[in-house]
Amino acid sequence: MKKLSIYLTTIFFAALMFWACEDTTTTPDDNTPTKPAAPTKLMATSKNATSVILKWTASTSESDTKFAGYLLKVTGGNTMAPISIAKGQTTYTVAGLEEGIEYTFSLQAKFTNDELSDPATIKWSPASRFEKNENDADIRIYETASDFFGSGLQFYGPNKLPKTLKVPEGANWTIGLSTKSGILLGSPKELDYNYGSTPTAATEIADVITGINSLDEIFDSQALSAKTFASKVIDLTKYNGNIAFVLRYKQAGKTDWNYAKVFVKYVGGSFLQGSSPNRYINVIISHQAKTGVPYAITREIEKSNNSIK
Amino acid sequence: MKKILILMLVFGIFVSVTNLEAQKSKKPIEGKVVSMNDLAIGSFQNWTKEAAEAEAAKGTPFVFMTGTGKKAQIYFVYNEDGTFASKKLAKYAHNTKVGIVGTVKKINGINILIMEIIESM
Repeated sequence: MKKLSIYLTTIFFAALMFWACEDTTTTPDDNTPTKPAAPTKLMATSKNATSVILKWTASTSESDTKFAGYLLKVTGGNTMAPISIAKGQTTYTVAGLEEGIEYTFSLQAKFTNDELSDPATIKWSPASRFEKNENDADIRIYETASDFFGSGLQFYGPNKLPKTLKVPEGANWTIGLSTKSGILLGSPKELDYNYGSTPTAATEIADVITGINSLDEIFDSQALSAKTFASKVIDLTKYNGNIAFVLRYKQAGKTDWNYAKVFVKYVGGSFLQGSSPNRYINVIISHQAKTGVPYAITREIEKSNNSIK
Repeated sequence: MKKILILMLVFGIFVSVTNLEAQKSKKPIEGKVVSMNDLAIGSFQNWTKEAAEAEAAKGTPFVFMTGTGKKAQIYFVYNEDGTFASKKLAKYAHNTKVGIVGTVKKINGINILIMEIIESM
């Protein structure tokens, strides 16, 4: 009887210990999630031919004491080691990329116990930034009245840099400027010029973006090929600040599109700079050299006063 | 009184002639960028942009030439801030035709061009 009592008591305590242990290992002791919330609204823009800038909205788990930062994985080109990004950061410039390659950027929030959130992902490709023309000078497009300087611009000239061209070279214009009536900038085929030969480079324009100071402020969240493009001109007299627009064009002999963003400077209350009859507009171009790579797309503009028309 | 009027007339003519010496044109002067070395030997090479920039960096001056042969005119080109624009000109040496808008002055028989705009044409 004594043995039975000892036996039962042993079983009782063993069961109690087992139950107690099981309880602490299977039931959360508080409401802390086991993995962080993912960052949201991941967007990208091309900084230059080798760099892409990413921007996102912070994970809501940043206030958690276990929050350790972000982990960025880049796939698509040469293998890159995962990049650790500190808590509180909402932008990051990825360098060492190659123009024309579509990279997948996958961003995850991370806890100190190495638990990762679901990834936020975006595809992007770096693109060349042209701030100077083939002569290392500002990129200018001259007014119609300037008989001697060009009213057209070839984005990707013989030296793989922008080149200002005159009307007889209209076949190679990517965009043109006409100041005969208003200040019209856009597809050469839509401008009232008597070209020596018909423009062969089809140019189509999508959104016009206002309220910006730089191309670096225009982040996109999906591919440009999804946009609605049309052969058209933009009447600059309707705007009173810097503008940018997205365009695509076909180089002579190519069947696929090249994509670009164009930033038009508004200086001292005007798009036209200099003195008549050689006034000009000044542009900066983000240009994807590889055809068929739509590196930019729909817009979620960061600044609250930005708008799309 | 008559003398004063004559003096004023002479002064007016002098001012007009002086202004003619500094001609500001909105039409570009068309020509080609050449190096002084090429000018000296009378043989003009076809520059690449990189080669011309390297040559300018070594100290070779680049100038602007209009016309050819006996009708050729040489211009020493300066930026509007008064600095010699040789290195800037060198960046245009690969272009077959260049236009410059600016002010021309003739000083001691030498053409000085104060450049406002330069473009390949």
